[in-house]
Amino acid sequence: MVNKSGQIKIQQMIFMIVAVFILFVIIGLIALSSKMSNLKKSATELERENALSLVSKLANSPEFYCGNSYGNQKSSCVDFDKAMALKNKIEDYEKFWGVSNIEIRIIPNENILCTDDNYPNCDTLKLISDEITGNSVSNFVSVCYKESNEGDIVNKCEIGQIIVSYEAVQ
Amino acid sequence: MNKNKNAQEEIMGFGIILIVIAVIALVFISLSVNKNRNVNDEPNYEVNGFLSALMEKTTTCEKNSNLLAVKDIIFECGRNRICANGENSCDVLNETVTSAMDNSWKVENGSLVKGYYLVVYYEGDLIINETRGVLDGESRGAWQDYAKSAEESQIILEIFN
Repeated sequence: MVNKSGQIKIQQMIFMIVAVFILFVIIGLIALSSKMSNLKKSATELERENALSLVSKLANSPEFYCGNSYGNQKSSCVDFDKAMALKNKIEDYEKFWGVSNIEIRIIPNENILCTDDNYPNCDTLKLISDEITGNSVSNFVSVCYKESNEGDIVNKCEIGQIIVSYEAVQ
Repeated sequence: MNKNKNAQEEIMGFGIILIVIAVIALVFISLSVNKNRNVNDEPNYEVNGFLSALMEKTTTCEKNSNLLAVKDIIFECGRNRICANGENSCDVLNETVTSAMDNSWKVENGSLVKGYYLVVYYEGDLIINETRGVLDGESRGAWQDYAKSAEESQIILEIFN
């Protein structure tokens, strides 16, 4: 009789240990699944942060910066002529910035895509690809170019937007 | 008596397990809350970028065979000067700023921007006051100072979302 009571107690304890173990496993699984779903979000967030930091400093990078070409030094100034030349060599730079596309727009924008034939009578320059995919972040910059005016070359600067696109992690 | 004590011990054990689980859950929750970043923490880079770009924008006002930028025409307007091509510098400044604001920050139904105001001061005097939409709610703003010789100008922009 005493043995039977002891057996029941051991059984109870085993049931309790198994129940607690199952409870912890369930909690662990829930935590793991939420972590896994957050992983994709974090990866997309990292892509966004990279694009954000890039969009803030891209205009001052040597590939785009105006320097002294348009009179005094300007901050956040994109040399549109330089960017157009860069577009023709873009295959060497495609992976350089780690983003899916970089677009420069002059404001007001009529979405006239810049090509070798119509430059500078255009307002949108898509550097890496003509297609914009994924998410994007933008910043305002000064877009400067040289224009011919009755035989003279004049410096012109417009308000522009630099748009960096990045792919969301699937 | 012994049975009662056993039951009390079991209840206590169960309580301890519940407390341990609650502590673990709290740690998880606090960790995940700390990781959630506030979107508003992002720097106010867009408004600042716009002001810098606006200041460098070329206008139609000519001086010494050069087209003046907005940052230069502010001083011309402050001194009530006429451009070399006969235009009034304040009119050119006003038109340039108005069109730049209209094209860059569209205040429409359903748009993210609900309103804005932009003011330009020359030596403390208000020379431009551009206001659109509702100036209420969350806002982001920026200001820039420019100096030329002993003169000073200031431009302030606030965007309401």
